[in-house]
Amino acid sequence: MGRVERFFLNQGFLRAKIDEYLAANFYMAGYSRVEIIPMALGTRIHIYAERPALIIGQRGATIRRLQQIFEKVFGIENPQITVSQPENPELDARVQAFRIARSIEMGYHFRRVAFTALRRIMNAGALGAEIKISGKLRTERARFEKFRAGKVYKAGEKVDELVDRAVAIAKLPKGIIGVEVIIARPGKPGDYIRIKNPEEVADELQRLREELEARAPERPEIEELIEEAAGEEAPGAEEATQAPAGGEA
Amino acid sequence: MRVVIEHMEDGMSRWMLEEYREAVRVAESEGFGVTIANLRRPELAALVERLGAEAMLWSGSTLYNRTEAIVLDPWAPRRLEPWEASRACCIIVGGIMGDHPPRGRTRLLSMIYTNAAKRNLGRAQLSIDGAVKVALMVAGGASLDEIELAVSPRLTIKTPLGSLELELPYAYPVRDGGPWIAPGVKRLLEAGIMWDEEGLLQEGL
Repeated sequence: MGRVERFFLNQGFLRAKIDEYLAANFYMAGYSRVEIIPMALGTRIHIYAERPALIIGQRGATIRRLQQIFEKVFGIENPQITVSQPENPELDARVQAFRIARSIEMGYHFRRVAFTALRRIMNAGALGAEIKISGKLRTERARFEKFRAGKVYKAGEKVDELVDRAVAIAKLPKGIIGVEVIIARPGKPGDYIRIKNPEEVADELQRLREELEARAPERPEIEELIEEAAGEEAPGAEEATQAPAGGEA
Repeated sequence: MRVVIEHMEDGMSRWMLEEYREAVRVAESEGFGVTIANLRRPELAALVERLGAEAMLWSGSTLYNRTEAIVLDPWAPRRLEPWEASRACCIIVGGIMGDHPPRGRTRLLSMIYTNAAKRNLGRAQLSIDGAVKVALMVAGGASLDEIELAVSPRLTIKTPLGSLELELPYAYPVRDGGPWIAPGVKRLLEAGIMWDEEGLLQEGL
């Protein structure tokens, strides 16, 4: 493996390790994602979380500790950490998954939590959403419950373009409950089909009608050509060819 | 022949009771008696007796650990054959509310019933009533290849909050083109389980 490939692989590996660490430790803060930007005088680490105050800590205590961890454990030179909220937390799958997991841990009924989350996601303008909760849900027998609204892409190009997926776990005394959230963010869907109202297409219909009327004088010319072609053939064959044409008319 | 269900959970939930109820109903309709063993607590025994089954506070191995008995264990190397099932004095089923993936607690059952023959009903994890239904079908002369199973059936449930899709990671025998799930379990899933019932019954509520 070349040095360049190894450099980029290491960058990706480091990002995954940091992401995993933050997701495990700051899931109460509604951690969303991290951006690592190498700069001339150090590395800028931008953390997105639903509740940035929990990552910053009292008088920045938590963020200073994080800085030391990034430096000593992950080997990042001079890390400069900034924390902010994601642009739209309702459309962030990880924020939603952590929110659902927290609510289940707090004792809310999973169906109520899931439907509330689904409604919030759809109200935020998502094309679709799917929430899957699995485990021993209030009884000893494990099962999956899937809540779905709108359109959710599972395969194809649109998955890369529009879909955000996240998994979280709720730790209950009885065992672990898995939460999977898939959100199809607002965007241009590839296969969007809608039947328009007659009022919406009135102008278009009028235009088509005018076009057809304008073409009407061309018809006799075509008919003349057909008659000419038919006249060249034998009279017996002419009858045979004209009979089905009359039937169709 | 008798169907012995060895209760292997700490407590009892409505779901489990509904599966026991269905197992008792199906077995009685075929003319077989049902014993639910290893209940350990008199209040659970009283609950089970109301379903019409014989209740035992201790393990069924004290009475049914015989060479003519058959333990149903998915991990057993041999499949249950109709001639074996029809000649058995009793069929022993684990009263287990399964995990996904299964933890293999039926192995424990095989260890308790040392003298009994160990047979499987295929690799799929069946529900308690599902295992009883399949075992009775085999005892009635059907081979396991002839019995159609619905593995991980999906049910659509309408709740006041909206509709949802529910997947049960178990196998159920097929009847009338769909999975043969106990009607009580379906009702329970539709209504939603509001509280941790196992805990409630353990507390004696």
